[in-house]
Amino acid sequence: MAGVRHRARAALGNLQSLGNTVLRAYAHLVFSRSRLVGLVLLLATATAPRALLGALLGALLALGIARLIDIERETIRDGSYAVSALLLGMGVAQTFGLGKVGLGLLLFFAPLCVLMTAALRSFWTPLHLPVLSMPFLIAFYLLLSLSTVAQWPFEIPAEDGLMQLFPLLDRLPRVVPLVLRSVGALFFLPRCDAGVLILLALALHSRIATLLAVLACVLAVFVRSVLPTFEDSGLFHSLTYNAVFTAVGLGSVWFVPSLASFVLALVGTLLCALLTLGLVGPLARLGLPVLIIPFNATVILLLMAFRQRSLDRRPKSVDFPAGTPEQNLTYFRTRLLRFARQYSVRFSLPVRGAWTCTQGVDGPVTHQGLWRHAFDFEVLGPDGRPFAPVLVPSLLDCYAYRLPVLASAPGTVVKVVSTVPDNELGVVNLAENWGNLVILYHAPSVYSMVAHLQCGSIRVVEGQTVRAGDVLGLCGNSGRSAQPHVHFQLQSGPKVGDHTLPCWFADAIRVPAVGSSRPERVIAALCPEASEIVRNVEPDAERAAFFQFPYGVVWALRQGERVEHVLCDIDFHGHFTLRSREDGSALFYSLDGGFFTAYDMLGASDSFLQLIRAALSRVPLDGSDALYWNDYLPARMFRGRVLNVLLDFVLPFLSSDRLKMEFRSQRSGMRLLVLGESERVGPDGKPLIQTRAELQRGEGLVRLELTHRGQVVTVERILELAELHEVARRAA
Amino acid sequence: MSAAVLPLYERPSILRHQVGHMNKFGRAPSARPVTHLDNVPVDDLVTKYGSPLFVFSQKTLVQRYRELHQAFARRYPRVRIAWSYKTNYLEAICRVFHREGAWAEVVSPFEFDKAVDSGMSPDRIHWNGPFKPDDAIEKALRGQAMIHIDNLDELVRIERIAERLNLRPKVAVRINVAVEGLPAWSRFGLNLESGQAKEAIQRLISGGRLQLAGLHCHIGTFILAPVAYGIAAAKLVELANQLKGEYGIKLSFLDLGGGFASKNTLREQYLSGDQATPPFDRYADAICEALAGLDYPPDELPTLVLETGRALVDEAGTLISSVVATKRQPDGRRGLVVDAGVNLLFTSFWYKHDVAAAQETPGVPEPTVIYGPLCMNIDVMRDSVNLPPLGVGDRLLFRNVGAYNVTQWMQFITLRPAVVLIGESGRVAVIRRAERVADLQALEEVPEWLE
Repeated sequence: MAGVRHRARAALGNLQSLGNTVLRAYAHLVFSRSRLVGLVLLLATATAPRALLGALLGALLALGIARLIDIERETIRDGSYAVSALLLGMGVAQTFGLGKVGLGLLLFFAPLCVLMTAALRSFWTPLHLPVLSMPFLIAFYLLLSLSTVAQWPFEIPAEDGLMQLFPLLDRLPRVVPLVLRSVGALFFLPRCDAGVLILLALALHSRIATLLAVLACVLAVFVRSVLPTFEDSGLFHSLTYNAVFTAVGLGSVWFVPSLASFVLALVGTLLCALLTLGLVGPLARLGLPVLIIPFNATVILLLMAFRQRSLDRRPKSVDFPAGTPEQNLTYFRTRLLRFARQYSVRFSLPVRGAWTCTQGVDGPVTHQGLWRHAFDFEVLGPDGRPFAPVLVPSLLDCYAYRLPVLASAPGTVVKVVSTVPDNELGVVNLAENWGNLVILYHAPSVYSMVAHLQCGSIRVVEGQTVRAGDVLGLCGNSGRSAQPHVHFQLQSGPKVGDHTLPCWFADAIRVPAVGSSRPERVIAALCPEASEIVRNVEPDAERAAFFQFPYGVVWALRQGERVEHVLCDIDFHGHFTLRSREDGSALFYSLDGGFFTAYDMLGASDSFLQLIRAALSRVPLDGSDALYWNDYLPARMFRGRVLNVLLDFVLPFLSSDRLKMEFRSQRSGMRLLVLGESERVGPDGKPLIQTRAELQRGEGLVRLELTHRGQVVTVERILELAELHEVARRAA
Repeated sequence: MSAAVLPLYERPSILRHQVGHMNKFGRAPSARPVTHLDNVPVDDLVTKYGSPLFVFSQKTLVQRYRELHQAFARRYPRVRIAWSYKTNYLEAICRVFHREGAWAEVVSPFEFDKAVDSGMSPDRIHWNGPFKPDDAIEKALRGQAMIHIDNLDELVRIERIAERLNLRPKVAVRINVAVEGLPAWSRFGLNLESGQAKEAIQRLISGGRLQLAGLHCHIGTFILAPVAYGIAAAKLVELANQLKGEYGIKLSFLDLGGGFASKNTLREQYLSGDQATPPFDRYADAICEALAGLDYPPDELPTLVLETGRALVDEAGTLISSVVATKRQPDGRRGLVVDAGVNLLFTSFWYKHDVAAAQETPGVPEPTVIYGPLCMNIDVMRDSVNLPPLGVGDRLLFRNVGAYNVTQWMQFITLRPAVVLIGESGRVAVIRRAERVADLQALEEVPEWLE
């Protein structure tokens, strides 16, 4: 009996998981992973029971085949293998019916969709390109062509007669039902109700995507209005649904939503419209409809074209774990934008310790024309000279001579010159201009070069991979170099003399001269100017120890009467997390690259984790006590909820939806204080936000204070009863 | 012939070569008068704070610290400087270094407490020395200070205390190594070559209570040959590699101690210090080259700890004194009596201090002996230095006196004067006021039968 019940429960579980997979497959149609969105789309197909049946049949067949040929289970569960078969099922059901012919076709072509999805994945996944609905297109075109040979009867699905049922619709402009039908036509359901449900699913998925869809519809209507002979409603359907999906895809799925992504979406949509209009004639001659070719072609074209950009910005591509457009935007704003990432790699200074930049971009001596984006670094003594005060200075008296020169980012060595002799002080070698050098490949069209190294000092060979900070060679005086210095530049190609690229050093520190009252300051993206002294953040193990929150420890935080328990946790993916016991809110943080960095905060807006996010936004783990740095807090942290929901629609266009903060840290006995204040000041002339966090080594956070518009919130760690017992036990 | 007509006998005087004149061995030190310290007139300082007076330059302190730190930081990725308290533990001086990021290196419970009182957290203190009392060890262990174990007895005591406190502290072991060409500095720590150090480390490991986090080695003091550090560092590196290979111990630091020479001139030294003393870069070259032999992955390299004291602070200190009397010695030397003696300038037993007049003085420089104010025969500050004919009331500066003097000075015969600091902005502040009789009386008590 128990066995039966157990088996029944297992079967139920399997059925549920199957249902979830089908819903996810549906959700994929609008780039979502939400089952709710999938359900709404399923309801959209249910407007024609035949279509629903066909879709389900196609999906189930596809999933069965995928299991049969041992496609990886998690990928199947994700539903993506069933998407094309699902579309095909609808197409077959709506055009051939689900009679003998229809079922037979589906039985053969649904598995074909799975194979084609798998084949395209093998081919395209390494190129980071999506499969889209290509398998469906191929299968369906094949099917239509076969049908003319085999003379299977088929019909184009008819439009609904809702106009008669709901006279109210008559009052609306004629384009509204037209557009709604067009959206529905994607599922072979040119019906207003299906269209409304699809748009509803899209709205559930993302407000930004909905906005893009509406803009695409407006564009389609505009195209229709400027082409006077546009009578074919079938063509308009193709035009609209292709436009909608192109706009949504480019504007919010493969690129982070922003003004630039909207512009790209607009351009893509226009291109897509042209393709639709251009393809309709040739395809008609073959007896085939346009279907969703323009969308597929446009998206692949633009994605591939954008691979060649050297700077991944305007619009920023989604090269991180993707979520909804809103999530992508938040992720980008909270994780990536704060850190001034210009190229796909971050560059640090190519030297250890503090060096003076003696020639920067557009330097008067040699950094000009195609080679303007370059930097010379030297070590200068207190008297401003590059060598120790001796009667007759030689190379060996120069501070910089023979100091290590480092790889500024991970890469591969593509070029090494190591045999140019070092010049005497004041002498230059114009024949071998660059002297001894190393060129590293970092990313497509992004190379770095260090030059004028010491003869014979180079420690790497061509083809070798290096990590950031690995020693490449020693500073020398070879080539066009009158005194030992390091020449650094980013360049577009692997050859000596390729033109330079703009360069910013990530999280470099600007060091004030001795006697200056200015403090050291971390600059997120530093482009050193002549005579500036700069250094990298030097991670200090002792400072880092303050931020090593032991796994599993719970902090009881109290503000007045309220107590919240924060668990120091590591999530399944290995991310450090602070998790609230009370409401499950989570704050993700990392502890690498020389920084403690707080990332996204998920959950309740009144959780104390919000305070931690604000007060410990980012802390360099450098041992210096006189260090200042800036970071940005999302402005929405300090706004009301209603305002935030309303702002969601315009969020992609608010580039500065953030508060600039200035932080500094300070040791005070056993504690480390992190003090912050916003750059923006309130009406009282004081900073809008002031924060203060106190940490104790081995204990973690012990006190937090946030002042917002004069109101002070203080949160303190308390010892709870159990801990008190533990302390007492230890004392005994 | 009567005795009266005989020419007066003049005793012949033979003076050895004076380091001072420009000659083939170098140039004369302090040929020019030094009228200002960091742009503050010496006269103003004396008028306001009296004479004698110790003056420290914050600008020089910071500059020397950064020179030292950068010389190493440019060559090795992890560098820490621990400020050697015994060299100069005036709180203001310590704070200047701590603000630059220095930890503290102490050698007694007193220094430990002083460091903690001035805001240094115990976990940023390295504790050296041959004697560490139990109660102080307990305090240090509780505060997670880094104890450098000097001998096996101490090792066992620390183990017991740690066991009682139920702690597993991280500790370092001080070792001493033979460096060819240097006198043996084997008084402190455990000897490497004899195998003692290795045995002690094995004992530490088998004890199972202490965790070995670092090795410490100090090869001597006022070492003018950077290569010696290279040899010592190479020996430490070899030991560290052995420990990693044999026991899997990854050290978090290697401490090369201190001992870098300042720009002073030792009594037995021929060339003057500002020419003989190697720059920090040469020490850094020698040490970092040896550290390249560490068999550690780059992101796990142990921190290089330096306990340089003298070379950081010596140049920042100046003692201003005033001439109170002049005389002619029977040997022909000119004699000056100044108001600062060896009780204040303990280092004059070791160094030929660089002496400079604080005002333009016309006249031909001549060999001069400088006496302090003590009624003691030992009170000679320089027994022969070329100086112009200074008169009573003139100011005389003893330069490069920042190290060891304001810790080793004695309250002997006279009271100790004030110490001032010239800030980076040029402001001057007293960092230790002049002693008063009452300060000393406060410590004394008179038994009732004498009242």
